[in-house]
Amino acid sequence: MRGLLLLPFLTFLGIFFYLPFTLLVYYSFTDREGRFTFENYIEIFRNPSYLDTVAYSLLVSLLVIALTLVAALPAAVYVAVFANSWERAVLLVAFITPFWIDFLIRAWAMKNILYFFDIREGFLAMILGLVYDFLPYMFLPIYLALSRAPENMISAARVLGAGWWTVISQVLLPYALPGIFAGAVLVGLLSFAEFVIPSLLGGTSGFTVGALVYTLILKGDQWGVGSALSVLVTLLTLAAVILLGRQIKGGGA
Amino acid sequence: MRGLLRAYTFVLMALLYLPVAFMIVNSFNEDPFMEGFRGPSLRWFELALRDVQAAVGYFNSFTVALASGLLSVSLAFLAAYAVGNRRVTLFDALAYPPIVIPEIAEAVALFMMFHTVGAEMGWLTVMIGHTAFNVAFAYVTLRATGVRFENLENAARTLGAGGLRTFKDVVLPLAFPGVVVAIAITFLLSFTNFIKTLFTTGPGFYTLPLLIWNRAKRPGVEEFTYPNALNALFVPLVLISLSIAIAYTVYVMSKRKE
Amino acid sequence: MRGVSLVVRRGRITVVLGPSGCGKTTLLKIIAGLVEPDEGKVLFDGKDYTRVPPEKRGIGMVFQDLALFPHMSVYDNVAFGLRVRGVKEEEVRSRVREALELVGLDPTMYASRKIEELSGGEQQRVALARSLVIEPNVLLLDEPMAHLDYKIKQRLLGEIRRLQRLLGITTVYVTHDQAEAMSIADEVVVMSNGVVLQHGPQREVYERPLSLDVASFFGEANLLEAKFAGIEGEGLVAIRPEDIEINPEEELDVVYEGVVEDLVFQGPLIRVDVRVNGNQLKVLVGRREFYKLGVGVGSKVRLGWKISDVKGAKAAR
Repeated sequence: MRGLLLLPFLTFLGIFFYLPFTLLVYYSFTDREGRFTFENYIEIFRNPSYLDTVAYSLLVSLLVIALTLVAALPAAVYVAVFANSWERAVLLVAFITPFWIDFLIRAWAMKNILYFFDIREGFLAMILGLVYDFLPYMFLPIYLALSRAPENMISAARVLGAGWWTVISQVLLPYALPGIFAGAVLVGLLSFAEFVIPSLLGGTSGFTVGALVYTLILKGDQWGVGSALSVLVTLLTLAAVILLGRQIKGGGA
Repeated sequence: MRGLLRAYTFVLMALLYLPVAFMIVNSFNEDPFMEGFRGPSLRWFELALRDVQAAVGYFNSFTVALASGLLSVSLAFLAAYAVGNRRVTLFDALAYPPIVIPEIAEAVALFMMFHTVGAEMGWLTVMIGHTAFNVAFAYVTLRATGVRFENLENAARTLGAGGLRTFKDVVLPLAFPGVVVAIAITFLLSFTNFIKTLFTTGPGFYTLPLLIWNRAKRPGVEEFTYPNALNALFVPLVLISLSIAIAYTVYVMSKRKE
Repeated sequence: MRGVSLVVRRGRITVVLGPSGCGKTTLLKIIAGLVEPDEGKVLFDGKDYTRVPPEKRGIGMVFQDLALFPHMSVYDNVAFGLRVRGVKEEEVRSRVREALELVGLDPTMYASRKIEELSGGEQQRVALARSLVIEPNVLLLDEPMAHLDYKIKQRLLGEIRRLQRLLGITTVYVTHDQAEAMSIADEVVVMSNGVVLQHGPQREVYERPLSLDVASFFGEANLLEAKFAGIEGEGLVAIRPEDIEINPEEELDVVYEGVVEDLVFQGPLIRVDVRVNGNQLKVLVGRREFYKLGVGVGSKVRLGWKISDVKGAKAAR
């Protein structure tokens, strides 16, 4: 009886999620004639234009990680440690809400403010757009990590005579670290594969892995390399999620 | 220290919503371009009302989103009900990947499958593409808001209510708000979805985000593609998004606390 | 849970007492039909109910978290069991009214209230009314007082006892709190690790515990090493704090000397902790009697008790 209720859900996911991914893997290992090959993967690392795009995207990701971290960390500390319950509720809702708003909308909104300050499509606009969009993905894991710390921890440390620097380095940072790590992985992966913001705000600097996949599949009819890239991104994500899942389980979430 | 952090946090929060505010202001901008403000005007909204393509886009987005919301929540409800309060590591491991895998990879995979089987790309493929993500998301939402109330169901049973009666009088009324919230959020995610739609649509079928995207790629070619005309099309999308997203966040957070 | 066999006596309150996780709630759920036993049977009046679903058993159950329906008013909660039985709305109204009055809630004040507006004690009463209104054959209570203040708990325990006497309903009450068990039980079942250690009338279990575990679960006990005449090796015996006399005037079977280490004022009773040969013994003395003794911390005292008051000698190996 119970199994029967699970069936429609599993069938749907099977046909429209797991089957497509199986096919994706299949195409990544075959050439145009349907013969088995590693060529698509080798091509990514051999062809300088692909390799450049991957390296460029990595660089962009690292930059976005660093900037989101700097921007989100103080806010996460405030909300998790200092805010009273009323402030915390409001701020949490405010920082979580953007999660559910599509990137196209947020990227376009960002464009409005960038143009107002006369920042046109290009590297700076793209980075600002990415930081704006991924800020909540850095904020939330750090907040969650910090909120696991015992409630009166900071007061206790201060009563025991710790100065602010000691509180930050000895008390807050150890708790925040798993969250920072999780946020960095999330933001890195998402901005690595992101496509809308680079295309809309990046101008000539917007050719990242996401844009490359889009071009290969929809414009260039290059299914082999396109699917190989998608498979790599997927594997990276799954690996990161499993790694984070392990870590989070240790923390009891 | 505390005061400084507090000020920073609230400024950051304001910054998160500032772009949207600029967007709304610009939709009332007499000038067609975003660069400067040239007096208030309703011209872009008047234009939007005459915009047949936009109306078609809104309509298509709406029907796809409604179907996807209802379908995904129905499937997810059955699954969440069957799972109940138990730990189902294997099942969860199958249900969560659609949420975490980058959307573009999922979009590419669906694109390839639909092409391989020679499906006619359009409303149905777009709706299915959205649902493949939504169904997992609805499942997670319903697990959080709750569709099983073991103790209350037990109480109803000992008071003499059979399985069906318990479902109708206890489970349904208590799960109902969560179900509504799940439908609303999956509706929203589908209504505003862009990437998945881009890869799963076919010639002649477009949703509102696709239409805006295409117009944004050739700004100022005609009146409809002026940036501030696009802002006016975005405004209802933003307002719908914000209201559903806030309602969802507040509701799920209150449930988590319980 | 294994080898548990329990016969509950009609018309009395049986308290199942044991530490958390000992299987007492599972036992209750098996009686209610909410958990199916892997093996074994559930009989009501000699009839096999093992396969009867919970809704057909005619039981009333009060759950640990009360499980009141949060989306219904007080009235609808109490009426639920009657409505699913197809009772006419007119009769429902009068019976809900009676049930609320029975548990001490004024129907005109409480009927339309929401559950979340009620205090813990009031919710408790609603839960009781809801399970009694269907006139169950058996009333099952699963740690229903777990979240209540001491005073309210005492009052409600008294009322449950009064209602049970009034209705003559067979009741099984599960708790880990021996004070609750003391104040409400006719019969006591002491459970541990899924096994029944002892089952009998309350006083019998207190006076003649079959093992040291029972002696210390149900009431306080000092554990002492002892040698037994005629049996090899040493064992432990238990002596209740109130059975020890300080500076006894009459001749007693066992007498030790010791030094008072601490005095704990408990109101009507004083607990005197005495160190005897490296063991600490707790002695309970009535307040007035204590003042007559005139001992303080550091006083040398003699302790004595009757051999017939020693419990749990059977546990000796």
